Amino acid sequence: MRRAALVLAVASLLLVAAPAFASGAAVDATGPELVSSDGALDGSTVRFTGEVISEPLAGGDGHVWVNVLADGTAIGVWTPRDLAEGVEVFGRYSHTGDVVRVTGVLNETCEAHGGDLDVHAQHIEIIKRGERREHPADWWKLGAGLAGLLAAYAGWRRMRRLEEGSLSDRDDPRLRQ
Amino acid sequence: MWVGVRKRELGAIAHYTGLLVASLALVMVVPLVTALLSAEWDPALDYACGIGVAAAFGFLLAQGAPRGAHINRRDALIVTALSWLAGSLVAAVPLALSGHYGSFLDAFFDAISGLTTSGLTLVQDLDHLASAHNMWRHLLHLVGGQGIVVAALSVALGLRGGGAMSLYIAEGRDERIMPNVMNTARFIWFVTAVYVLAGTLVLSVVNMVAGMEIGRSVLHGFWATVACYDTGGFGPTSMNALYYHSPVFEIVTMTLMLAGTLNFNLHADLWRGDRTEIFKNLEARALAINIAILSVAVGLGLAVAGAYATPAEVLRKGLYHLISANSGTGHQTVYASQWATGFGGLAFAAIILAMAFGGMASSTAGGIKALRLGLIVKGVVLRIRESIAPGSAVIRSTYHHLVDVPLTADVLANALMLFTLYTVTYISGAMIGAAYGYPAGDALFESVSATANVGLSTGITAPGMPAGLKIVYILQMWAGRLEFIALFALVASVFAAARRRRAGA
Repeated sequence: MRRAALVLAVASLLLVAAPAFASGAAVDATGPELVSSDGALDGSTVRFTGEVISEPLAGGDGHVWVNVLADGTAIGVWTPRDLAEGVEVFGRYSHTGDVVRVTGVLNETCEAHGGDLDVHAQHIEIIKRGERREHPADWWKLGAGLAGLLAAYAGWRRMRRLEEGSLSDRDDPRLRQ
Repeated sequence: MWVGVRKRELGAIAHYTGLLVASLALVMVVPLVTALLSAEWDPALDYACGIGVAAAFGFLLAQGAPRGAHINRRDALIVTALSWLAGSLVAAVPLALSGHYGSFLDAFFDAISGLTTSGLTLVQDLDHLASAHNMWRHLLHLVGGQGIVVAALSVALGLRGGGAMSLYIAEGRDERIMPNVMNTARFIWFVTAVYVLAGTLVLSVVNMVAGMEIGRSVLHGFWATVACYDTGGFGPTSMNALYYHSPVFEIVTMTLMLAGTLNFNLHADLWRGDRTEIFKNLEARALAINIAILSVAVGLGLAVAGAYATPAEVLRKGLYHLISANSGTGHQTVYASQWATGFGGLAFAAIILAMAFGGMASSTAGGIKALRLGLIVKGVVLRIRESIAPGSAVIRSTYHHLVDVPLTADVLANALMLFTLYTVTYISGAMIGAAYGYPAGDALFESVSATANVGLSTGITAPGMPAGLKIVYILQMWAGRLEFIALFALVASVFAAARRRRAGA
């Protein structure tokens, strides 16, 4: 009875811990950690979250490149085209890009890609769909610009008048003497 | 004797400085149109405001004297020094209004970095910056690369007459490709237009093939072309050249960097079909030898450090960054943190030397310049020959730079003086960086990058860096672009004026 209870306890523990062991293969990291691990994460399976900031760019061999901005540092993710198909919106002035969670192998100097630091993706999950960014217009700037142009015009007119004045002075025979 | 600036001369200085600043208002129309075409309404207002400020500031200053007022060589130096500073101030206005800079100082830093074609940046959230602002940042490279004076001369913005040539030379240029300074300025813009059009076309196609939509392909193509040909280094994304993941992109941009580092006189010779000059020109030879030696050093350094597994990777990474450093461009395909950890000591040192030496004189490149290095080496050889020759022998040396020129003590002294000024500035900036607590190697790298107007960064240049260090780098970029003399003329004139006032009081 005691042995059965022990087996049951160990089995339960394994069952609960299994996802943890599975995810233990992937190290959670931030963008800055990925680019400054100094070899510690090279070749490891890593997992990071960030905003897509590029449209899928041709990567050859049925793959595409997707650049992901994670905690202020952008990482190039080389991924099979089908994994990136879910990505719809990339970040730019008008839009915040899709937020994705990438799992893949970090290569600090990727032999397949000319020594670039990149991540070869195994899994891409869309966490949040990208959206339009609002940029309310500050109309006071137009007022300031117009006031500046008016001042510039006044300055230019004054300069012209001074020039005409100095030219007519030069033409004045009384002033030539 | 120090001669101060008199009131009438001050008026002429203000007049020309004002005209040069006002010319930037004209250039701001381009990002304004970009904003309107891209439906970026708030950035459009940033440029509406910027145009007003630049025009008002410029024309207010221009009141100082009538058009065509005469200025002497000293005043031209002061106008140049002031107009690069005042130009950067007004250029910073739309950037500061963008909301992507922590302070006006940060926007000013980027403006002067753009104009001096340095490429160091303090912009925040670059990946969401409007196309209009990216257009402006890259146009600053274009205007600054050719020179504010050259830009104004090309459109004949009131610079006809007495001061045109003095201003042109004061901007750190000495080529007289055409008999007339106005035509020389236009030739410089013609050469630039040919490269910019060709580069934009090729890179647009590369981007389109990679999968970018047409509009973005062309904009990114234009920006990368301008940043490379003008040896600037800004990029429209935080990943810089790494964004494109393309060896073809790297080859095209490397070609543009090399074209940008070529003396405009050599461009003129190539344009006329004379290819012999480039092979016998001392400066071209010095640059070729410099690149060859430093390439070997970078290659060896990377191999010894074991940073890259294959020779192909060593070649791709090493050559790209060496050309980027030597030409003063500053595009990079490694992360800032990888300089210290991935490159190893020898390659890191070779990149610093490449930045310090720079490209050719009368190009858009910065640094000490290959011509001066060539002259100094020739001077050393001459000295050795003199020391082993019989006492009665007269040893002379000449060098070929467009024509055969005797190597005189004056020429050598001038080259050595600028070599010394650059070296002292490199080291001083490094010591200040180290005093702020940054590692000495990184501080030297960043200081050289700022002074030689390169833009490669180990990560010190960031929005969070101390304000004092931002000001130091601003001064280094300014002084380096104007090759010190214009800056010294300004400082000396201010001191002389202060002394005269004290004596009068």
